[in-house]
Amino acid sequence: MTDEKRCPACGKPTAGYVPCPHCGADPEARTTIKFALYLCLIVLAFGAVFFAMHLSTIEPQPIAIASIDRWLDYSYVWLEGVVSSGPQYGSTSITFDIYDGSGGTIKESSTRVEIYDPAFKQLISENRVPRVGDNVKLFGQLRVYLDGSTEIRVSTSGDLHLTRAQQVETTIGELRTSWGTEQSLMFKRVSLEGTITDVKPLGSAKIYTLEDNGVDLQMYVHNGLEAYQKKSLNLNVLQRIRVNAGVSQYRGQPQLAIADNDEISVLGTLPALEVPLENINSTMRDNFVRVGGKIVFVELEGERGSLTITNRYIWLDNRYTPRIWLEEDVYKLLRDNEKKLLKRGSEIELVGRVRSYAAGVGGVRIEFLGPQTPSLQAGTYEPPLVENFAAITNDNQGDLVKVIGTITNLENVPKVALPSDRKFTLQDNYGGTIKIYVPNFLFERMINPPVVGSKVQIIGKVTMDSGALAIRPGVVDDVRVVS
Amino acid sequence: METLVYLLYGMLGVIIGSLLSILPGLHPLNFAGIGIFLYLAFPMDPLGMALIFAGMLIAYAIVGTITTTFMGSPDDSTMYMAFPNQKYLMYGRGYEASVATGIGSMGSVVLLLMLAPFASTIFPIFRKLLTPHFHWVLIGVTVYILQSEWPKDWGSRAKTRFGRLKDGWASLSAGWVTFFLAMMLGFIVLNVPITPIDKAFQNIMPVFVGFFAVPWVLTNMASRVNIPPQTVSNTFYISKKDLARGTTSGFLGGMFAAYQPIVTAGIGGVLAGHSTSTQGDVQFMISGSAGRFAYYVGAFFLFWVPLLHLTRGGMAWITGVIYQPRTDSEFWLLMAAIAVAAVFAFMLLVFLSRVVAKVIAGFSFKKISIAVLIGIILLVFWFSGLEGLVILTIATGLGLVPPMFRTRRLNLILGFFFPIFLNMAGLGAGISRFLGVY
Repeated sequence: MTDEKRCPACGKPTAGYVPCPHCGADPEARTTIKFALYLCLIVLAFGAVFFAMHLSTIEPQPIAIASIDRWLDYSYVWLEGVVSSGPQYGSTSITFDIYDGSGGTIKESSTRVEIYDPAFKQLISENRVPRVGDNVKLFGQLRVYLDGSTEIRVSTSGDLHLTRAQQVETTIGELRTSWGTEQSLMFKRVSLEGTITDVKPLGSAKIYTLEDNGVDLQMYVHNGLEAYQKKSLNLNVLQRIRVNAGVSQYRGQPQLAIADNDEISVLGTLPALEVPLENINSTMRDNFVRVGGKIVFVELEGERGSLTITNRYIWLDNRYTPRIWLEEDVYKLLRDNEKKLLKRGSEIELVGRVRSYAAGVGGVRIEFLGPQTPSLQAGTYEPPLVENFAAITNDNQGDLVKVIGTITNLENVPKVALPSDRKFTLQDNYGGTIKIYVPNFLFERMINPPVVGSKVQIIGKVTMDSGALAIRPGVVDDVRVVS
Repeated sequence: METLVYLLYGMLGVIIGSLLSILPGLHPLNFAGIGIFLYLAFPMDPLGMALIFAGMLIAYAIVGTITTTFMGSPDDSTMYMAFPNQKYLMYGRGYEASVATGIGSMGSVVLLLMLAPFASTIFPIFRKLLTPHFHWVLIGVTVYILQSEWPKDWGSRAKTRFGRLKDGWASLSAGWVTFFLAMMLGFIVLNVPITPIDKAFQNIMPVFVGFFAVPWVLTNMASRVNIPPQTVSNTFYISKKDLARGTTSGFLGGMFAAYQPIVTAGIGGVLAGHSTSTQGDVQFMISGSAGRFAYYVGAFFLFWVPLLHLTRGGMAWITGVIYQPRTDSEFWLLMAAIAVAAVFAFMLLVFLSRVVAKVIAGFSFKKISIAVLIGIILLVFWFSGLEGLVILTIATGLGLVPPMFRTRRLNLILGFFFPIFLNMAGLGAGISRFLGVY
């Protein structure tokens, strides 16, 4: 370089120095704008390739449910699978489960789907609520909980792609047989007939039992369904129905899952045997019978370990006829006026099923079946009054009696972690006494419980308690404080 | 093929982002806020809007260097390269510096595009491996940044051992003091709502502007120099080795910062620079621009990586409110849009740098700085109200400490975000309660 040389970068004279003493530019180290242009072309080439990849992967790629781990909590993913249970209708959402077969077990391959308002109401209005057996592909936010359970939340109805399942005509027997072998009907939609023989009300649903040719199958109807249906279900025991539903799985057993009331159509009602109550015995086991009579006593039974009432026995006509056994959950299905009338003195006619029961009269009891609307007429009945308690002897065990007297003593019978049962000593006008045994689930329901000195009227059955005769009331109303 | 229109959305974002980038003091966090306004004002296809956001970020990373180079208004990510860029400006090589930083960004684009096909495989692994260790990695990064500051030459060597020890620790101590003061400000601003509720999403904007932009502008005002005539040439005196080295180093630092919460491009740049022995002004400029692109666009890119489920950066968080990437296809569309938008932004950078370089000669740096300062104050007031101006003043005071005591400005950002590191380690609430700001 010479003195005249100027720096090509800053334009100042360099006096031959390299790099430039003013700006540090080294003329040997050169890059032109062409290099930048080549870089741009490379970038655009990448862009073209990626755009082609974009076009070739338009279809969403669902992930396997079994591959979901805690790192995917709150992430947005596509899932695809067959609806395996539900839908369960809530006030702000519907939920159902999907299964994709990606894991070793059903649990590993399943996840819960929750669709919130307004998406789920839109699905209802579009008749696109997924049903067991349908195939769904959906996009939503995953939740992975500490216990390992997973859930995907779908926020718009457009994020759910639904393919309705084809229906398979079958019978309960075929379904049961296939379930025992290859489970080919699991998570499929079926159409079959059955007779309603029972209902088991749960907190969130009713489980109906359908029978056909001696084989039974459960049918799950979620309580929330009613709120979103135009047609209400009015099912009764012994109705023959056709059901178009999905087959889900509960505790290893098949269960029909109802997504819409229109999936059930009533074909007719089977008659029950009309047999006088006193003629019913163990030879009629499992038969459906229509029985009637006057209620002479209602006896509640409580649950061990709580104050919950589990069922009630209804005595018809007298102590020598088989008793009606009514599960409390079924009792709760009755209308309010029916519940009020289901008491001592009323006339009742109902459909029941004869079941073996060793402790029952004749070795049987009659199960009150739900759902049904029993015929009830108001009436009165009181057992004979026993004025002199000394007249109650061991021979009277099992008899219904009415006694009036004054409470002279109150004894607590401790129950672990629960209020005590109460044992009153009741004295008649002749100085005789008898024990009145009031279980805690009755006593705790009394608004004005009797105290020592109270004059009370008790209706109950004569029983033995700790080797002594006692009278045990059946319901709260059987204990009445006279003064 | 109708999805080709989405590439135009990306380019539209570049135009909007370029207009915003020219305004000194604006940060992508403000862009995110502006993005909300845009979406509310013009409801549209969320995917299209997300790609506009991507374009805005790309413009900020590429076109935004014009502000750093010609107006001297850096932020936390450009602070790292502001000094060499302005040195080039004073040599009359501002255009060259601007385009060279653009080339660095384009190098970063290439590396990001090359990474894309492997992203959904490697990033989920990183995530599982690294997430449990974030808190101590961050604290380690902080200690490294604070302690790795090289003692400054104060002009004469002290005669006594104590004097030399004192000199050795002078910058380090100033760094620690800066860090501590910024941490106190962080505890307050991050825990106590100071800005009006309707502007709460911009509460840290005044802090960033006060830490970086205002002190730099004030320093420029004090410099009393005029900008010399600028050379506009198609030849740049920059070696390809410097380009390659700077780009690689910057990309590594930027992606580390994009991936690791709280770490910014500046911090990532220092770490990557140290680990790859980055040297010289050119490499610093290139690595700074590459890191800035990798940091802002890389963080947004992570949001789209299939099955990664990672939201990093203000723009990704805002985008997440209106849009969630749904398919692999959309990820590839984003990559195509990034490619097209980056090329478009680079072209704009070249064009605008040429225009600015031609008109800026003879301008008083002081006058430009005053105009910039007024612009910054107005923007801060608009975004965060009077309370924001108060925070800006305090942050500016802190931001002046590093240039006065010759320590790293990065200590400001480390200190400010240190309360978040402590939160990650489960200690933040206790300390905040002790300080009475919880």
